[in-house]
Amino acid sequence: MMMKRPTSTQVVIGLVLAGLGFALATQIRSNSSAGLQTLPQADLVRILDDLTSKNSRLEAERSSLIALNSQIVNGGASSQTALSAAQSRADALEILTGQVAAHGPGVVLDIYAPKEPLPAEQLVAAINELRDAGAEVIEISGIGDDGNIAGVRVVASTYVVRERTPAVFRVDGVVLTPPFALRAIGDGPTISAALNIAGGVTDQLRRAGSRVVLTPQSDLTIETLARLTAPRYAQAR
Amino acid sequence: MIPVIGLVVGVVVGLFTHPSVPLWLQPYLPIAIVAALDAVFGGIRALLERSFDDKVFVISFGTNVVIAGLIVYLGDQLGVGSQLSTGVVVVLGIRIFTNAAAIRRFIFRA
Repeated sequence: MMMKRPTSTQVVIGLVLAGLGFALATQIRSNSSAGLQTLPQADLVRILDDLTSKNSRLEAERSSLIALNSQIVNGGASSQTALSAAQSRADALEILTGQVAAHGPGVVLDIYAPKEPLPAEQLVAAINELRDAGAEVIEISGIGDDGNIAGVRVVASTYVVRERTPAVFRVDGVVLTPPFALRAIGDGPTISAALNIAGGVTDQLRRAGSRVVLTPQSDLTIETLARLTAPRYAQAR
Repeated sequence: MIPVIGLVVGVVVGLFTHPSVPLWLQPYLPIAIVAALDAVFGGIRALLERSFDDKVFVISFGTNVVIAGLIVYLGDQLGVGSQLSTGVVVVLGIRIFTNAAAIRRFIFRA
């Protein structure tokens, strides 16, 4: 019955359905091509609200992250400075406490066997004079127990005791017999001037009968180290 | 045969002419299409039941489209446009499913 000659009503139906197909295609096209354009106003307002609140939330998160970032960056920089400051402090303390070998310009004071017993005070006075003159690293050496040259690094806790035998000293528990040598790193001319002052250390040593030779050195290396003892009474606070 | 040809021609024309939907028609066109589809499925069902009538089809098509548009318009005026559109789509969808089920029974006898 469909293949008969088209009647007018059939043509009308065809036209109606053509309109339907046209509308269908148009609607599908416009719907798929346009995103927000086809949405009703209420939906648009809701989407806008969502976006606004999401935006403010992300903004807050961003500012907190920026604060955190600057905090971390500052912390990193300050901890870097603190680390390098601590490192230089540690270097200075290692030299002061005699925990590392050191080198630099300085002087060597040789004290040859005195004819008369050398009082301990004179050795201490010599060490003190070196410190006064700004010596940073001091080492005292002499002939040790075993007949070889023994050296002691002079630090804050170093003591000098005269043994019963004349002219024999115990420095930090190490027995030293003459000849002695005091080696000091510091400003050579200043130390030399301080030691050579009239009535000073070398003067007194000479008067006591020692032969004293003072030699400035452009580069002196001191390799003896002080023994580090843990303090028994003092505690860091 | 002519209705099928008409449908195909309409789709092809719509695809190739890229018409833009006028703004005032935008809320109504989807509903009108669903209503028209309902009419078409009803027509197919009537065809299979051998009770198809050209005049009834054309009139039901037109009134479906117009009433659907009117309902949406009324809803828009009352401020419940989107809800009413949803309702219309649901009702028409149910009708389309019912008609499709009847058509399926005629064609597949199941």
